[in-house]
Amino acid sequence: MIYDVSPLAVAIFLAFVGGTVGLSFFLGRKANTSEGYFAAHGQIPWAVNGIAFAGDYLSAASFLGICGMIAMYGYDGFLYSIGYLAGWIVALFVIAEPMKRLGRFTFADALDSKFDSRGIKLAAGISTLVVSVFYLIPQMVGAGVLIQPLLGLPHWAGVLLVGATVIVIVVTAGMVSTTWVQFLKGAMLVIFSFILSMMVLQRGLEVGQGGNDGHKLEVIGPIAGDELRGAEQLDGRKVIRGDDGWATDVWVRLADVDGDGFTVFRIREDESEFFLDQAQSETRRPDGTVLVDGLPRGRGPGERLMHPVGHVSRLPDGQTATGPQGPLEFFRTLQESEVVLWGSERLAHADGAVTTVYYQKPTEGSRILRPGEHPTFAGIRSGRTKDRIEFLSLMLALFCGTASLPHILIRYYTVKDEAAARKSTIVGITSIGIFYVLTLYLGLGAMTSGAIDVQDSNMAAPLLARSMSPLLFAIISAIAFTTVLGTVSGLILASSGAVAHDLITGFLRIPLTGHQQVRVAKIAAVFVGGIAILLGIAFAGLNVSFLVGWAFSIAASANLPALTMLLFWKGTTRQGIIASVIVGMFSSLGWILLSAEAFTKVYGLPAENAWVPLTQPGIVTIPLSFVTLIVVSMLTRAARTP
Amino acid sequence: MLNDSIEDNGSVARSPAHDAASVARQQNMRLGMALFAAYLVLYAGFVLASAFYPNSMEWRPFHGLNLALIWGFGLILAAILLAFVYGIFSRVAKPEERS
Repeated sequence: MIYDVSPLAVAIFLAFVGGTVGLSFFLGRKANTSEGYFAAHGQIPWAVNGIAFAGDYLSAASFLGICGMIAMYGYDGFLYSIGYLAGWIVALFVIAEPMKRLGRFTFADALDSKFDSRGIKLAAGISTLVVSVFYLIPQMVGAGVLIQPLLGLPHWAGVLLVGATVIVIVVTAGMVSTTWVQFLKGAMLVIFSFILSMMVLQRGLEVGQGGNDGHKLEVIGPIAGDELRGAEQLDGRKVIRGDDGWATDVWVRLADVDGDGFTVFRIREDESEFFLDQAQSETRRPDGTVLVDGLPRGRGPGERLMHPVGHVSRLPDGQTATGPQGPLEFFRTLQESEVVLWGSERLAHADGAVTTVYYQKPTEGSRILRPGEHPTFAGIRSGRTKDRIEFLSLMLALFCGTASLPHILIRYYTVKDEAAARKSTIVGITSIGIFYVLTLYLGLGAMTSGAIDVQDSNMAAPLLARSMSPLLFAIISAIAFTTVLGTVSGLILASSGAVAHDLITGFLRIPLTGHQQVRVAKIAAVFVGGIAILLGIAFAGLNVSFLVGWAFSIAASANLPALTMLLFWKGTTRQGIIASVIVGMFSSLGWILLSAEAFTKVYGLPAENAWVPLTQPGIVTIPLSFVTLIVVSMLTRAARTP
Repeated sequence: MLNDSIEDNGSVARSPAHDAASVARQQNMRLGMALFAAYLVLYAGFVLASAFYPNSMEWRPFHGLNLALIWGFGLILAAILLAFVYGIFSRVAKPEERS
């Protein structure tokens, strides 16, 4: 789709960015010492810190990715909501208070609190950097995705803009400004998601025949089987012959009465009669031009755009519109309805062009509201044990990953004591939990809004807002953008702390005063920010949600076993911790790079060539990291006490 | 050493006030573990049921809502509820109260 650049959206967006950067400069003078830069002097009120947790955690993947996945497939996106929130239970009950008690600036501090070991600082510092960079890539890619429709700028400009803004935020005032940016973003995200959900319920569900551009999707039929085969004309239009990649038993193309365009239909058989349902196609030719149903993409005469989609095809009891719905009634109605979802298929042509056809998939509401529609989760219905283990592995990584993310862990140092750490986690869980409940309404609202872009699920939430009002679209887009700013600044801060505090003063033992350490951290922030910008540009077009899954797997395998064993097992040794972090990090990273998902989506190789059986490493690498810690600890202890 | 070397914040000095703090800490940990176990059962149940009996998620036991919705929302509400239970019943070990 092509989006209009709305001046209102640009104005609100610039106000947001200007406001956050201004705030950073205002707060900047408070953050000259290392305590101020890394931990905001431990003076952040717990309630503010709690909302800032939400701001930190609800990344672009949560907001845009989950809503988009629900809008396209239903309940499956909600599985991520459930898993992401469950991780907070680990954070609250296991990690929060010891983290605050044992550490000072970084995750490595807590891990190293008993030992004062350079090896631990090195391992933990590197693992912080690896996880942060993996988590940064999808955020930066998400920024580029957002900026295109919002400001009409190309992808790289969006990435550069986010990178530059975040570097300014982090360098001017470190944790102080980062926290306030996250607080504002977290609060606005929850509030506006709530408003949008209320509007979804108020609008209710309505039977439609297409998207909200007013185009009614055509249905032709019934046609007898022998009439369909060999027909020269259908519905008064010429049938385009010759398949060139278009399988004629699946697709029928009818030429436009005037011009070079066509309308593509998918053949549906119903009790030995045939119907033609309108589909949409986009062809990318080797010279880079793009055709939509045979015409150049665009708004002008002789050009064509994809239609927005997302409609209910049947409501219970033959209703045409439900009117306002209650929060539970909404689900009950949807369960008895039928919604048109969209599938896609790629066709290769002789001249090297590639067409993607998007076709209607009318789906029962009862299927939309159960797990197993999305390709990632469909395995649980396949009956294959491997697919089930894949699912378990992902849910385990989400559960264990949250409490091991470096940018979440450093937030425990911004409050004054353990009680404040606990209280802020409770505030965080509550606001994040409320948001995740709302994701289901937002996603299903978008699914039935008629505003969805079939080619870009990440835009589902902003487009839902646009179907309500242009002002709301501007606000939601600006919030989505701030979402990226908040999470990226947290990650860059965590990385700069790892470099300045763990690696340079901790591992290399280069003596730095507090001020020098802050200066080194700021240089590191600029450097990491630059790397993030380059990676964000390099990985444009990669699906953001599975990259986040990778970051969770690496964090859970490298950090969580060491942290929990240190707290609960007296026998843990220095060598055990180092081995566990290194084994967890490299085994999960290596596994991911050799998995089928990386082969198909990153290297463009066939999935069968992958070296490892599962895509999700967590179920193997998390226990492996635990076992490594125990075995190495026992061996090194035995060596010490003969 | 360096002005930002790691202090051992975790060491327990032998004063009665510190002992009180560590007693509170242990009680909190025990409570936290119990609540954690309760949530873990709920979560593991949901994940295992989804993985091995996916059709059970379509069962509608309550007000016409299916099990996937009830259990999924239940997990989110349970997390919030358990967090509040922990917040209300955990003991405070603030430095001010040590004296």
